[in-house]
Amino acid sequence: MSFLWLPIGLLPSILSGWLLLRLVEGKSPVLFRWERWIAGFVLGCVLTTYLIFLTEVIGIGSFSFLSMLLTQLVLFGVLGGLYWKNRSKLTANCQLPTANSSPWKPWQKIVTGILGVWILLKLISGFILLMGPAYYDDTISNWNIRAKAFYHHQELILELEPNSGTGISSYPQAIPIQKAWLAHLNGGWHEGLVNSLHILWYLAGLSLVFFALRRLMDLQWSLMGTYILASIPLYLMHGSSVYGDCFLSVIVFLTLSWLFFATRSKESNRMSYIKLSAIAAGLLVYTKSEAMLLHLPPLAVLVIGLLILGGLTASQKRSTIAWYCISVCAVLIPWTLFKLVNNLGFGNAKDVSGITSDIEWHAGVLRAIGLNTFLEGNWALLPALFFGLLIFKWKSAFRTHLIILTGFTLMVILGQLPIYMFTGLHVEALNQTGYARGIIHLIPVVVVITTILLKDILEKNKARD
Amino acid sequence: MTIRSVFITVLTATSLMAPGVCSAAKTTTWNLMNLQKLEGWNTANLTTVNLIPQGLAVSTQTQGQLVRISDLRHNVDKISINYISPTGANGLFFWRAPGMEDESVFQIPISFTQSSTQQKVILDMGDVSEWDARSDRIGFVLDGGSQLILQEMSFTGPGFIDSIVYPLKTMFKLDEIHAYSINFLWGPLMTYSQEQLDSLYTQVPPNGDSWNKALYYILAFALVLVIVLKKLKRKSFITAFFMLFAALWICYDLRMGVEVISFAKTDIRTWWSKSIELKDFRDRSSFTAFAQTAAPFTQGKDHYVFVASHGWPFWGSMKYEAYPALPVAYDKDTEGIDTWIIYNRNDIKPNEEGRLMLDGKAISPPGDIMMQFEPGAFVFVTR
Repeated sequence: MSFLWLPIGLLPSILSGWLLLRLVEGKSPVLFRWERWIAGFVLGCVLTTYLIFLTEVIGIGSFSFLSMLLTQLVLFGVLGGLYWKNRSKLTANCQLPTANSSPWKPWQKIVTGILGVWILLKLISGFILLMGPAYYDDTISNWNIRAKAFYHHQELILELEPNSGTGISSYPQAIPIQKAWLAHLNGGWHEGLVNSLHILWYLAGLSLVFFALRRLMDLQWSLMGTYILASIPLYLMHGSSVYGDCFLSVIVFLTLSWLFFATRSKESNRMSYIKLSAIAAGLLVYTKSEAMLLHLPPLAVLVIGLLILGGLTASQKRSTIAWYCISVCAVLIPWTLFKLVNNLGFGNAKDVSGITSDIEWHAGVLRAIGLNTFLEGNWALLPALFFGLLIFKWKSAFRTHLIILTGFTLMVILGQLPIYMFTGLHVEALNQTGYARGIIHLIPVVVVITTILLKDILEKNKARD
Repeated sequence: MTIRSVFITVLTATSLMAPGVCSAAKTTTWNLMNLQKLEGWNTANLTTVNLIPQGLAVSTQTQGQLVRISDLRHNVDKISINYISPTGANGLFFWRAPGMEDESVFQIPISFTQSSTQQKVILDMGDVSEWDARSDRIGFVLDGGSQLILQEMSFTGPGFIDSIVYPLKTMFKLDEIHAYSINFLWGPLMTYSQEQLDSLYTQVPPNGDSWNKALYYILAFALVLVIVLKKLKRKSFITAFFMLFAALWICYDLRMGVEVISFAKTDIRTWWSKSIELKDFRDRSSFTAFAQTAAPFTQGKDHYVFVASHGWPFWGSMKYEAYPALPVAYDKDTEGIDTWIIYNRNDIKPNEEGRLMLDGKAISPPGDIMMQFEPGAFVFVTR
């Protein structure tokens, strides 16, 4: 019975997210119908929880059931009102460009069917793993215990145990607040109910990768890209575990893929994608700590690149700057102020202010990273395929619009390396506790790049033969 | 001659040859006799080291070390050492297994019998769980007063068939879910003997090589072939290469997917299908079931005293299950706390007065056991 609260509890997030995206798209809708609902669900989770957080810290709300409900209703009311007001402009229903699918061959149907059943089996297993008692360290010391604290105390408390430093108080609270809301609806903490969110975010990741690929290629290729993502073992583990990295990976993917599609589009469609990307970038800040330090700087570099080289008109440039600045600052400034006022650290597991104090070369880090990347089962054969394709198809990878995705991925990977090689965070790489999570954030983007390059190489080869 | 008779002849011949092939062991020998130059060996603190026709002659008045850089490419379960020792010698045989720190080694004692003729010592490494043939340093520490002429070292392991069968068997040997599974999964591994296979996941890192390396070799070979064929026949075989890649990918997905499914099956078998007193959760044994049973006793309370055999992972898990009540250690200020939760501590029991006793000392006020979960695991409430 408790699971019935899941769709009901997610409804405000889904509706608010959908309305926000639809309003942002305006007269030029660029998202598929289901894509908008799914992206709306993911971004709506951050949007609603961010507003609940804001009402709490400025003292007009709390984490009580009534206050959370009211905040979500007000948000829905405002967005719904705006939608109603602009409904005449928002009814434009464009036929979105999709690549024509070639007819299905019998063997393709059989393989797709078998792999579909296989993915379903893995999803059921993931769901069973999520339903069990709390197990992993960060679930117990961070994600779920903070949700329990918000639910029990009905307010934003930073230390679960006075003066013990329990819980990662500097992390954004999006996930714990969403869980506290579900616990309120259920009238009690229910491990299975609150943990179901994670497999839904994983499914959202698979679906959004499919829709992104569908803009570029036929149904068979889009399904193959989705299968590649579904076959990454550690990504499946994160979809089946109570951690925030899979959730973050989906929002990173939305931010980047929409920026990528902006560079490929023209006129009003381009601006729709830019606005959508800007909204996702803003919400990225309140998803997980790494976003501020690892993902926003490369994103800024790419947006600046787009402004200089993207062929935007002067008004489009002004609009792009305004959307990114306002959207990111709307979350970044309050969140940073909150951190400063409460003396909370910046960084992920370790405070970034301390990591520069002991800069020295740490032997063994590159070996550990190499092992994790190439010789363990975490990513299957994806790193070999990805880097191989980057080398063989370097022109497509670096001299086309794909540079948005490849540039971001390489900036984040190469940006992390010196942090592990020279700072106190080297322990995270040596013990393999932190490094892989940084890669999890990039996996949907890496899979899309890989699928695009793979299609490119195989179709060119087919044409030549 | 019909095809059938050829087939029967080949089958018969193969089955006759098979036992010989299977039993053929693989041996690597380090010979030290009649050498002109000593390569790959290092010594430290030995009084004299000379290369003579009979072997490597060492003598030492203090404890010294003789070590060789090793690159054994097969599994080894027997090490045989030929030597002459006029004085007899004692010391240690050591090796540095993969992943060990520079200064760390595993070691076992070794004795060389006094004799003026050649002797042989055989080390049965199959019984030494820490032994790893992939060690990059292998050597001896010799005690002071030793004289030894080291003549030959032979490293013997399973034969050719084993080196194919065991890696394939190990590929589908699955790990269990652990706290590290959120950060990394070992993936398909290779071992080369039954002993290695049986003890694969009993240590971290596991005692096996990554299958990924073999897959990369296969793919690299195929890629070179594609390039060469393209040059020769001017036809592209790139599709064939990616078909091979896809086949390996699906095998890999099958292997790793089965592992994740096995995690879920274990959860069903050991947790979901059992009554609370019989539940085990992953590598936490009965603790999770105990914690969930004990947590209701803390309802409405700010604190409880928690004592367990280990800090991690029990402390954090108990705190999570019983939240918002918080745990306090028994040696901290427990004044006014009436609930004591004890797990896996057979050394803590109430005395006649009803106080919990540890090492002969009372650690609690008098009380009663309100819930006995299993020996050493109970909830105690003070009167």
